[in-house]
Amino acid sequence: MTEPLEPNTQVPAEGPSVPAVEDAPADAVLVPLEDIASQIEQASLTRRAFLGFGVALAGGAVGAAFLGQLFPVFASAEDTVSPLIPDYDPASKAWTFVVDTGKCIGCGLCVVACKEENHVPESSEFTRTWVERHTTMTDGTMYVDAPDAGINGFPAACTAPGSEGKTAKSSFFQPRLCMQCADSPCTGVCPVSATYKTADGIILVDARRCIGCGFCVVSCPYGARYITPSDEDTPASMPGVADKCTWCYHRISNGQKPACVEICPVGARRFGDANDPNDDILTVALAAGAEPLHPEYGTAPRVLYLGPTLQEA
Amino acid sequence: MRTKIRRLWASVRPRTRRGRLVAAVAILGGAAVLAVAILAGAAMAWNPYLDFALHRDSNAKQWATLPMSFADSAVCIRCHITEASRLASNAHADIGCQSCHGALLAHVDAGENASKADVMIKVPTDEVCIRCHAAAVGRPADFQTIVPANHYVGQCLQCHDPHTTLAQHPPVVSHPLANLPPCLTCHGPDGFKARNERHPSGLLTDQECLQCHVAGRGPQQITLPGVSVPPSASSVPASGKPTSSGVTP
Repeated sequence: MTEPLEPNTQVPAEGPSVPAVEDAPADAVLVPLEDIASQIEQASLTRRAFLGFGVALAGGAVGAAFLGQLFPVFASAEDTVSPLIPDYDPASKAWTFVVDTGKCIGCGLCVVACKEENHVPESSEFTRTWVERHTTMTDGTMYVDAPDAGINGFPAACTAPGSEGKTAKSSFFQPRLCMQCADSPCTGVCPVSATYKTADGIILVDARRCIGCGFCVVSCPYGARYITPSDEDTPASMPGVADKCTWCYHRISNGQKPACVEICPVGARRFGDANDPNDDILTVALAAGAEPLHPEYGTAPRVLYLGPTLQEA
Repeated sequence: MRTKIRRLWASVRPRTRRGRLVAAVAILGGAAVLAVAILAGAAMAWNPYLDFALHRDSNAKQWATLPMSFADSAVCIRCHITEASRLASNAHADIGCQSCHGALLAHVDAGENASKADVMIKVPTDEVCIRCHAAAVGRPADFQTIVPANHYVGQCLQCHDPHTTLAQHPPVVSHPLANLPPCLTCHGPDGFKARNERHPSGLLTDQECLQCHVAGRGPQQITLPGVSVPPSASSVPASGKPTSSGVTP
């Protein structure tokens, strides 16, 4: 609250406005100069203090910048290669995962390898990857079975309830994993931003932030997520948090292929970098007509599927 | 209440100029230390270089630096040249070693001077063979399968070399053959264990089978009632190789 000053009070127009004395009567417009001299003095002091504070702030900022140069505390956005993972530049990678259902024999070794490589809990209800068998019977009905997520392979006949006694007309195996969607619902629904996307498009979960609410588990249209149990060794060594396939982030960031790709005996799972000029995985897959699974879900899934799909079976 | 606060303030307020200075320095200094501690704590919590930080990159780093179990399959052939060459030109050529032998990074990292216990690898069991080759709905049409009920199960590696994928001799028949139907009932061209393709395809009788497949001669020991074992063959063990005692200079 300020009061207009009399023009002949010789206070510079650009100077700080003088706060009015609180108990001054509202009609006291003319104020003698000597009465407000102490206030002017106080204002100057305030200005000096303010300037001093600004200088101190600037000095602190310069000092912090200097110290930051001496000790690189924060990663710079201009770093082309992540200083955290030597020789790995996430932004330069276009990881491509191709699954060929025409080649898959349903041995389930990929599920076994994933459990071992990533310390996924033993029970089949916790799995980062699994294999489904899609069977069309001679009467036109379709069944999907995945006994124990396919970790023990598949029995001779379809195990889906209701399929007993029916004869299979056509059937194929469909390995499943996280699609690493470009437009991922799981990262959007997380209330604590625990799940996020890296520069190379891999979606990870920060287990230290995850509160285990399970929103991401139900938001994933591909069912790729689960909540880790409390009594077992888990991928992030933390129970009660969301976990999912990372395309073996620890392997691909170190020049290796995911464990399921490494172990697949028939080459039904393939992995590569579309930005690598020596890697033709994407061009070959697209030339063969590879398509993502259920693009109508609208999440822009990034795993490409070759071979028979649900519609063709 | 207000009077209480006034009395409290009157009892503690600095009364000298020096006291006011000390109080001001203490209050401002305390605030400064607190601010620095909060800012430094926040900076450390978000410092991507620190393992306990909440920074995104530090979490990505945690994921990227987890230990591996599976080695790069290309590494295996550096040492295992024989197996690699046997694999090279057959149906199993494109299968990585770890598909059957399990995760082998520890084996690779152990190095040449490691103890045998450290580099021991898993010998595949029949479960691994059956996992892929048992007939099941859904397997590709051109994939070789067997019906386990119609096949010897539990002894795959006795006939099949998984590296060359060549099938070798049938296994030792351990059951007594007394009162059993003739050989060709089971071992005919369409029998549950087909006759070896190298055998003559003409008409065979049990007597012709038994010319070779008698006890003590060759790897397949068969004991049929009424068939006498040649005395010279008794010193030849089942492996087909004569023992040192059998070879006299």
